[in-house]
Amino acid sequence: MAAEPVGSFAQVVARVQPKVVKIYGAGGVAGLDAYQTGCLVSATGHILTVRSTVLDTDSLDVTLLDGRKFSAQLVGIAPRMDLAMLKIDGQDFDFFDLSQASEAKTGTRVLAFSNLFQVAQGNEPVSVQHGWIASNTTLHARRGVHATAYRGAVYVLDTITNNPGAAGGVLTNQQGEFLGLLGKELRNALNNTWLNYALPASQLTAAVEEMKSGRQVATNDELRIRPEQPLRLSDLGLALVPDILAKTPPYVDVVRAGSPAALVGLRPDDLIVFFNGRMVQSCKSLKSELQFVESDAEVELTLLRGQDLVEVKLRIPSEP
Amino acid sequence: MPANVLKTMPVYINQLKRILACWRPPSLAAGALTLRHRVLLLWWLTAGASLVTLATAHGQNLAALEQQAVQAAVAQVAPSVVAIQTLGGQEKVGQLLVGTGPTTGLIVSADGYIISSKFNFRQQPASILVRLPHGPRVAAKVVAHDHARMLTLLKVDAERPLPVPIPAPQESWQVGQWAIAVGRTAAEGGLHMSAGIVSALKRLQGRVLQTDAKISPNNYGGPLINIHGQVLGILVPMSPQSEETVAGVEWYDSGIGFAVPLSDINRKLDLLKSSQDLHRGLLGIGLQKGDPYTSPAKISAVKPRSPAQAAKLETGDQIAAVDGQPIATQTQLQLALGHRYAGETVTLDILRNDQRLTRQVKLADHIDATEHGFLGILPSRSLQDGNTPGVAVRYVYPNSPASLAGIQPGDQILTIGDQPIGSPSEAVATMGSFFPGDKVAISIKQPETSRSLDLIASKLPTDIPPALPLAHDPLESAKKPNPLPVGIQEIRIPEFKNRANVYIPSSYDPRLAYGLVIWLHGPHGNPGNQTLQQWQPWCDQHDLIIVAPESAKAGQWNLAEIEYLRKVLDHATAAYQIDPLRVVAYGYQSGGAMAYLLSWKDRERIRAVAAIDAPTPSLGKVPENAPLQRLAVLTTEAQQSRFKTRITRGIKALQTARYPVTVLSLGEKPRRLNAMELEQLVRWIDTLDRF
Repeated sequence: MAAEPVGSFAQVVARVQPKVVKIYGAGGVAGLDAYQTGCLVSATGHILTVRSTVLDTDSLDVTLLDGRKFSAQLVGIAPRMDLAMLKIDGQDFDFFDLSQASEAKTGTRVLAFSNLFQVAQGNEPVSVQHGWIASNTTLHARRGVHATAYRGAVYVLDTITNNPGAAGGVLTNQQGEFLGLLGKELRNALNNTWLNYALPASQLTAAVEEMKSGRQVATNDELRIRPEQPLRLSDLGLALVPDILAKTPPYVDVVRAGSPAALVGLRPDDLIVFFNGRMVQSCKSLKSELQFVESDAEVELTLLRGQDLVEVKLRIPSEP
Repeated sequence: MPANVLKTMPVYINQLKRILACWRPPSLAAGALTLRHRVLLLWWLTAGASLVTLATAHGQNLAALEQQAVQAAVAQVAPSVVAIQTLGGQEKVGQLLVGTGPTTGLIVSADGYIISSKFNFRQQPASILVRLPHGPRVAAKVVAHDHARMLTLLKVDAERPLPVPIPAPQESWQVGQWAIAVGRTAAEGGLHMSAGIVSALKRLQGRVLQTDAKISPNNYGGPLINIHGQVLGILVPMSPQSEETVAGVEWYDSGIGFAVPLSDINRKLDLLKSSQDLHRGLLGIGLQKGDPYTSPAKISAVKPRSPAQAAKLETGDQIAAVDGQPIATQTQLQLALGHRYAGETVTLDILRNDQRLTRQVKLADHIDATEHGFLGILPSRSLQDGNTPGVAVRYVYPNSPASLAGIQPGDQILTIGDQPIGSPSEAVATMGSFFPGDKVAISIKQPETSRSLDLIASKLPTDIPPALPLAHDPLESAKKPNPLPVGIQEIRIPEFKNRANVYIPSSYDPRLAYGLVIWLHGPHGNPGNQTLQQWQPWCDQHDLIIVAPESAKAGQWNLAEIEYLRKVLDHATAAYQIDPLRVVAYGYQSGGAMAYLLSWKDRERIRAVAAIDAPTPSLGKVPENAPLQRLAVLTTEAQQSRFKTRITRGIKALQTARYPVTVLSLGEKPRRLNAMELEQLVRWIDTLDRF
């Protein structure tokens, strides 16, 4: 401890670096990168990384911190989380024991280790970035984020890890404990910013064990099922204003007398702001929400009436 | 003694002292800092201890202490940070897609006022919802905008008093101190934070402070706080280049972020609460050219109808102090005025001819763009012998103010707005201070009588008169022989390899002033001499000189060649008698774009642009109209022109800037002007000295 200034992460970095590897594979054409990062998760050479086009080759190479080069085999993938497991031959590798991984909350100091932009070559250590966990949140993949099937917990970071080659890198706390795996480049469509994030260890462990044992992780598809006969607004007895703008606010135009909508007191000029707890910002998004609702299901609407928010529940009465 | 020493400690030590002071060990058993710790701390501080010994002595890693302090600061402000959701509105603002995610606001008064970034409402949403810290979602309405600082004030009806955050005392701000950006944009109303330091104070004319924390739509509208959780300011996108609502977003997450000081917002909060929008305060002066960091703030122009004009500031005045604070350079003036609001009154000290004057000026929220008033008179261009006062009327525009007042060709205009008029140039300059709709007093001499009358100025015409009488009587060439060579001549500018030819009318007479046309060829080489030959009869008849420079690279103009073109104009104006009211840049396609650019770079000289099938250049904005720098534009439209949208947009921008724009229709296909249209162009040039 004597040689290290307090507030320096030098010793932590020295402990983490041997567990981080540089991966080289397919790519290098059409704007595709041929490199990414990974981390050792067993003493016998299992390497956790992200699934990507880089791995689409029979000649995968892995370079360790000490410069040793290995050929790697792809032994497992987890499609929903876009993870992959590689294996190199050998013993006694320094590795992260994911069962001992830590968790962190918003405002935690973190270090990110990755070979972003392929800056490190041969026995050079990968780049280390310092930052904070900006938020411990969930990826709203269903409508918020492009190009990912994963929609679970993530650490959003305030350091810029969203770079070519960084995916598969490691996020640790300031003690050097594994917190998560840096994700692929993603844009957040909720506000059109690039997302800097890592997948938390807690989300990884099950998939890692499956992949290590060589099993293909089943696609756990959470896509919502579209019913054959989805609900129509007209069945509820209401019609929206004509959808003429790019984002026409979903104002109620007409309420049919005696209809379920009329019975719960819906009125023309009510603005529908939430549908079954999901915010609807336009006629279009309300109509697409309806696609997922059975025609006889109860629906919850939150209405903006003047400056008041009104909540109602309604359903089509079953046929006598 | 300890107090004194503490004052002189480096900033960071003080900072650490505060961290330690507010830090609490995590376990309850440990309680607050023990007395022993505090004594120890004071001892190290007074001894000038380093961070290292401080933290190690405390048995804690410094980084861990800082992390705890940062988390505590965020928790402190969190109850006042709200999530905002919007419904409806535009899908795109400018070229940017509007996101659908939540944005952030900060409670600024317990009765439900919330300040946020104007950026968060750029799509003009139909409805706004705010999620209050204690749970309920409530509808919000926009109360007012602060356009000078890119803020929006919202109001919600709160059932109970809302938590108002503590502002960081302004005297505590220091570059290098912790700065933490807080947003509420994560899922389920979760927080978003980014930590950095204060990078600079008083950025962008003193309106904002700067931070290297990651500022983005994830926290626009949220607070930037210090290590104690006190609010430094509200995060906004802002740009030194533009006042647009979305300007500055391109810098998101770059380490250059801005926050409007909360103390400044609080000072104007009552005004905003009363639904009054706030704007930047404008003075209405131009400053003389020079290095803004070293040149004194000397006035080059006073805008008509501006606060500066109302306060009787004059060209040549030097602003020496603002509200008693001395001003030595233009930058200092910008810093002193740039953060002031419209409606505020400032006291200016002025140096004028070794005199020091004091003027009170009330800043305005906007100054009408200059638009030149027009009487409807085209003057004769007779030889100026200096004996006859006034300017003779050559032609009266039909239905113009002059025509309605019965002014006839041959009448003499003696004064305009009490100024004696000796030449068309003087008449045009005087009309520079009259806008359309203004009353203009003139006096005229008619064959029978002299009289004074009041005209109501109209706008400069964009129609080209069908036919015009000659501009002057034929000259007796014998009286003053011309010593200069006439016909097609070559102009060489030593340091440039470009070539240029010029046509001088065979009847050239230095007692007359000639119009000057600079022809800029299009992308297909230079039919320069062909153009010169074509123009010869018109040059002879209408007292015009035409010069045709060539681009250095065949058919391709380079922006740097603007300098060359200015040298060509310098040469022509030095060698020949040039009428300053009729200097025209004329070009086809890329040459037309170059003509626009030349006119924008040489506002003092170019009075008209004729751009044939040419868009306004994408570089730079249409310059502001100026009283003494009239600019008329003639352009063309063609259905199939590949520049069609840009030309249409350009015409609109020029009209918005109040320039008279004459548009010729070329029909379906874009092309050069035909003989009849060229006749019109020449006639248009012949009217440029109208007033």
